[in-house]
Amino acid sequence: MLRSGLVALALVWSAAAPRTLAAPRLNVFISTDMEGVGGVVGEAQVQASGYDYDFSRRIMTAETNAAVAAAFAAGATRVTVIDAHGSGTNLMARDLDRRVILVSGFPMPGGMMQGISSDEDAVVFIGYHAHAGVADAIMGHTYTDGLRRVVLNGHEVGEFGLNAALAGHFGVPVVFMSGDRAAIDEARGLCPAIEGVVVKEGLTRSAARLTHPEEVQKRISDGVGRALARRSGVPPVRLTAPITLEVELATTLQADNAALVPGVERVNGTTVRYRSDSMVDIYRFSMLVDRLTG
Amino acid sequence: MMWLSGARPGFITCAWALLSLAGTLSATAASPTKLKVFVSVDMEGIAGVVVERQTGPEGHDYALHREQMMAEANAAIAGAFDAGATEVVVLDSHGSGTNLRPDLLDPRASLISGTPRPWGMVAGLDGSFDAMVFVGYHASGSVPDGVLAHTFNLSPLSVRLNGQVVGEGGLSAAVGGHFNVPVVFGAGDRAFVRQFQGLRTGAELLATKDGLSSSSAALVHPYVVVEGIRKGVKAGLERRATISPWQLGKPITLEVELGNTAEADRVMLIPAMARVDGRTVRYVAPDAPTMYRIFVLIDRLTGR
Repeated sequence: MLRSGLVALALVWSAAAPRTLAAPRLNVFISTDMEGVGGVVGEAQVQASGYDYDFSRRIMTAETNAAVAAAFAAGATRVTVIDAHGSGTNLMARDLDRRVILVSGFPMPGGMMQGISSDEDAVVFIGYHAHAGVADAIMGHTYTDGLRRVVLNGHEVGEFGLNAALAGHFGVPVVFMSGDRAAIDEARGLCPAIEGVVVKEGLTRSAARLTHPEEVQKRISDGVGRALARRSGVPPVRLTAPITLEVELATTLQADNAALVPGVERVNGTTVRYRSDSMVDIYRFSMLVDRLTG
Repeated sequence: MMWLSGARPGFITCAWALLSLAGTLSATAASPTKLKVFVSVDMEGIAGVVVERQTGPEGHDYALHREQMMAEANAAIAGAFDAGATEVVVLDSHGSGTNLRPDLLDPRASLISGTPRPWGMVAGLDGSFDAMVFVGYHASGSVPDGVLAHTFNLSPLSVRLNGQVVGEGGLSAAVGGHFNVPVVFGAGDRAFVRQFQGLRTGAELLATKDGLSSSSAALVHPYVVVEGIRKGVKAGLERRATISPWQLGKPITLEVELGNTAEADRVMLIPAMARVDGRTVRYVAPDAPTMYRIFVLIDRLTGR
């Protein structure tokens, strides 16, 4: 309690400071997924047809609002929110903090990172999850179930790694992430300085010990504030060129389709490899492969 | 080539190799001159076929029309050997690629069967061939009297190569042209014949029916078509020196006008793809094989 009181004071100070000086630009880019929000453990809660979907999208909206409010309190000059889950129509626009720009719908040409550029100063991930194949990760996957294993310059990654590397291409650090324990461990593995909030401890793929959603929102608010305040200490995830992406698919048929893309090498029956000097190309290729597995 | 709903997943690719038998026969032939023929067989342009249900296993008349497809494929094989072919490879280019019955195929030929094939309707073609033959072909979707006209799984408003509207015949012929292999003979509906004549290669062509709409036609009798194919393939092969491979030069600009903007959105993920307008995409390919694979990829991203 004492600690958050001090943080709150610090936030008031940092929010107030820019008004007296020339306000520095702080554009914050928030990408919100659903599997890693508080209280959510199963598919029925993250699919629009599921009986508990309404509950999950309210939590998703509340967690996004917590991050948005913290960002503005930390001096944000602009906050953009990407609805990065499924149809991209989960966040309830009416209930969202009215200061944000919401990017909604599917497909977006830039995927979960639609619009990221060097105009952004910090990235925040809400509701994220681990990649496929991780024990005790709540609904771990990468995009869809077709991508069994994604390896970027030798590191197995999921949505965090791909998205963080794309932000890194533009020199923008991912300063904060909330999600299940496995997701946060994965993020810290690639970016130790990231501020992480664990919203649940996975016990299996679809069972977890939960933190109460309201407590989660409070921790997100505190965490985003802390992360933005020390953002200069969080390096962007930068990859050295040439960048190599290997994707192991679920079936050889999917790999047959992926192998049609110019420049693709077939590593083995189910694995394809793609190389480029640009993370933008690599990212688009990952989206294309995903589209071909559907 | 058209997919039938539900036909997409789970097919097994199998290539029947009866080359040893063909090799034995060619060894005993008088003339040792190599004449290797590639036969791509589709179904919509087969004699008697006018509606879609006749072209897929779910349709009640599929068995009947499949027999005719078999007979036309065998007629092409016979015509090729009449002209002195030393090897004939047949590709089942329709839907699942499992329409031609391996046990009923002229044993002198080998068969490529199944789907998906990265090389679509020219799978197995390379520079070792001397001539191509098309059987059962049809026009592209933009032609009003084209019977069952389409291109792959798409009903694109048009597919253009260096500005020229083409159908599946033109796409296949372009790959042949890359390997310097001419299409010497093509059988299909009148609209196919007219569209293929537009390539001005001098190919021998046979109309199997005169389309009245996309699903009606005045038919040429199936037996007459079978005879015509055998004679036409022989004639085309014998005068193959007078028939040009269809060569577009390099690079080749592929433009595909898709059915809707959502399809174009998906296609735009392909590296180096350009958007011409809401529904139209463009890819500049270094050569015809690259163009063809890109087209197959576009089809895979947008087909039903």
